[in-house]
Amino acid sequence: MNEMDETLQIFFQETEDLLKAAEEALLRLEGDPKTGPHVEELFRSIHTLKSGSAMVGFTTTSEYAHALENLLERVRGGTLPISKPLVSYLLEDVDFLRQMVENGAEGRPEAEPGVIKNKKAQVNRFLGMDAIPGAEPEEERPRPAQEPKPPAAAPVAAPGPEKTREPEPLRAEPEKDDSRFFEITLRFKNDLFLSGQDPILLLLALSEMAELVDVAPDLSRLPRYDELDPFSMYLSWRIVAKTQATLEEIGDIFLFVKDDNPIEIEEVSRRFKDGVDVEVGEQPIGEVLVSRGAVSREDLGGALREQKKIGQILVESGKVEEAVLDEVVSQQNESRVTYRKTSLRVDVEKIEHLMNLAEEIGIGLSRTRNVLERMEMALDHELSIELENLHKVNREFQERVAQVRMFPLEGTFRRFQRIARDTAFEQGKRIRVLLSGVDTELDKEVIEHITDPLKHLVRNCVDHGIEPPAERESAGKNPEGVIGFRAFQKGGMILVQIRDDGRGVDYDKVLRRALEKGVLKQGETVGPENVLDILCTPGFSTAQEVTALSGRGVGMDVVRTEVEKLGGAMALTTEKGKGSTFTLSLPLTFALTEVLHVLAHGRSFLVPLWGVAGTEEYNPGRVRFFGGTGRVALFRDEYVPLVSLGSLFGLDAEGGGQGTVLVFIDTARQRFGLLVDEVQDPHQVVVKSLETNFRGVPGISGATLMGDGSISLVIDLFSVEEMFFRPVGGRHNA
Amino acid sequence: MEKFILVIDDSPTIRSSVTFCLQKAGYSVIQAKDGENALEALIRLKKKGSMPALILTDINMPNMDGITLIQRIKATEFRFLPILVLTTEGERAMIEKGRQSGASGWIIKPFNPEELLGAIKKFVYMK
Repeated sequence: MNEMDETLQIFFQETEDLLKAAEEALLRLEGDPKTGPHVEELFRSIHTLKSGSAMVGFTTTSEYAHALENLLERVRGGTLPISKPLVSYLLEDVDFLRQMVENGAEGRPEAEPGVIKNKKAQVNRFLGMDAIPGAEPEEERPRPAQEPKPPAAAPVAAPGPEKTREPEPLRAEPEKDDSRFFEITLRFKNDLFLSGQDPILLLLALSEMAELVDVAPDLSRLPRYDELDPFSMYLSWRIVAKTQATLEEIGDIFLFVKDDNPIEIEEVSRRFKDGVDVEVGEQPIGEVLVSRGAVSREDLGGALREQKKIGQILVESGKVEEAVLDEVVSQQNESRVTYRKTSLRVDVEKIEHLMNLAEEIGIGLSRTRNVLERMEMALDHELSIELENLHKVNREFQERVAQVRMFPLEGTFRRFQRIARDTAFEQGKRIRVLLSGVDTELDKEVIEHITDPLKHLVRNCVDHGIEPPAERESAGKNPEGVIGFRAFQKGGMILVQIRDDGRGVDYDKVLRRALEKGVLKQGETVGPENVLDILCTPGFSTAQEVTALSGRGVGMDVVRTEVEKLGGAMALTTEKGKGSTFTLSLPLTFALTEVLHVLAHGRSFLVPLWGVAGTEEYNPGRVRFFGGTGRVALFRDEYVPLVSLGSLFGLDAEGGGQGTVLVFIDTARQRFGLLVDEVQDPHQVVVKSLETNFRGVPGISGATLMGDGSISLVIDLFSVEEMFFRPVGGRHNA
Repeated sequence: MEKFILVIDDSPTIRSSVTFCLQKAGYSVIQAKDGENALEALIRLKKKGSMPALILTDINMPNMDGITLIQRIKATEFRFLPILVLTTEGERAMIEKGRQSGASGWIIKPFNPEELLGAIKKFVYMK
């Protein structure tokens, strides 16, 4: 349980205690209607609840408790008599508060805006009914309207010993949901003062109408002290304001300046969650500082070149004050935390548990069907429809749970974008980054696993792929290189591509180097399509100089291993002088796999459906034989190698397995055919990886429980493919 | 320090209604009936080492009109004073002329007290 949850639990408990105490006090007051300890107890309970609920973010509850507190203040002061209607009204309020907290606890709005509005109006009526104007104590009078409200007047007071409080004037508490965020950019002309304007007044007016969440002055136009003209305006501001006012009302403040001075007001509510700029968390610190006008872009560039902590460099070189940096860093952190807060964090284990249960329901359903069939009871039509429906619902349920684990790739791509840019920057290269398919979703766990390998690829592309601007120009290319990230779904796989328009992989150079490094033996050679295999051999690197970022040739093999561990594959297409594209095929999710159920040699196997390109009756007339056992079959105008699934796993001795059906596989890298005895319905399974002692069985990725209680093995297509097409220099498809 | 506003209008009705409105909001008011009269008032104030917080002027007035007044003020050390125009004149060309002369804002009569005070508040700081 994390700290927030713990605080919440404590709050719920405390709320229950407080409301009970309040209830008790009210019931006693009903019998004994006079001020004294019962009123004090009641007041204290509501007051503490107000602070507590504000603390844990139950704003509506807090605001309502605040309104009640004002009412009770008068009861306590003796200006509002304790009557039966008042007591029963307050008892109702206790229930209402309880309901609000309960709603909030269940993730619903504490109260509907309409309801809370009515309730507040009721409190106000109660106050108005019994409080005759002028009869109220002196200090109760509202403060003069001109006095600016202090920004962020949070109704939070630490619960503690009661001191004499100055009662706050009762005013309609603003609804939290009405708040909007505006980003206001004020760029004043130098002669601003000549038009009688005073920017301080504008800022003050704004602060009266809105809470200024962030105020960042732009000092870049400020000249040296001896060149400063006191009658000129040098400052500009960027302000984020939280307010209930409309864009027009905010604009009205700048009514008399906006014609002559560039004033931009933009609603940015979408960007803000709980009052925190979630974009700040996503941006590199340097960018945030530049956008705040705290440093110039040139200063940032200089800092990046030094490759130290950017913030530290800027502070050291006096480009930004430490306080400013700290402020922005803490805002970044806050933003990140808030962003996380708005999404529910659930232990993956819990989701997996749900998946397992759904799977068991599915098995139960299949068994029920089997039992009914065995009883030779002709499956009643209605019953069979019901069973089918249950299957359907369960399948959807499984899919929904799997979706919980899916996240868009956007965040990951943005990070890569930055890495690419930083890498280019440090090498004096110029690049443009193109993103596409950022909405493509992948299993969270898959994303986490591929992030590091992909980072490596990104650096590689910039480092080895993109040429320095001069070299590009002399090759007749745009001096600005392009790095492209693309993600899209194909079949049951997600393809992630990283592309550069750089120099491409030099095949001859790779071969030479492979010989030098002993990766290839003298006289051995491979086709250009197997270049990736060489690049992925441990210890191989073609870089002339090893850079700090893209490593020392330990990368590519690690990248490939990681991707394959996930049940994915990596491919490379490259053309000398034109660039390279790395394509990673990744499973949508770990959790659910669509499989084709096949039988071979009397055993059942599951073939991941994403790789199935088609099935066909086995026709020896359309198959060509060569060598001893080699055979190829024509599939979509291409001869692909065939293998019997049973013999692949050494089942030939067990008899059977004549092979009647061909299942054609396309892994996006290779195509081949699997010969099986029977093909059954496709279905969805939760693949459980085999226990440790079975791990590493070539060709098998896991196992799953079938409807009849038997266990079926799931084929690992990439591993099977490897049994066909590797090692390097071995057989490959023509 | 007392904030006062120099109100310039040839109509006594307007002068007194504006004055009433401003005084109610806590400002002091000095009145002038035209541009010439206003400049004299400014010179008197300067001798006393004082100056208004804001100038509120009409446009169409005998002797010296509002635009001329603004231009004249902008040529003196009072040039940083905010000048609001309160007039029945609402033509774009005229407003643009006022803006170019140095008027800070333009309010069209008949005025609504809130609007007037709101505009003044943008230029005069009142505690």
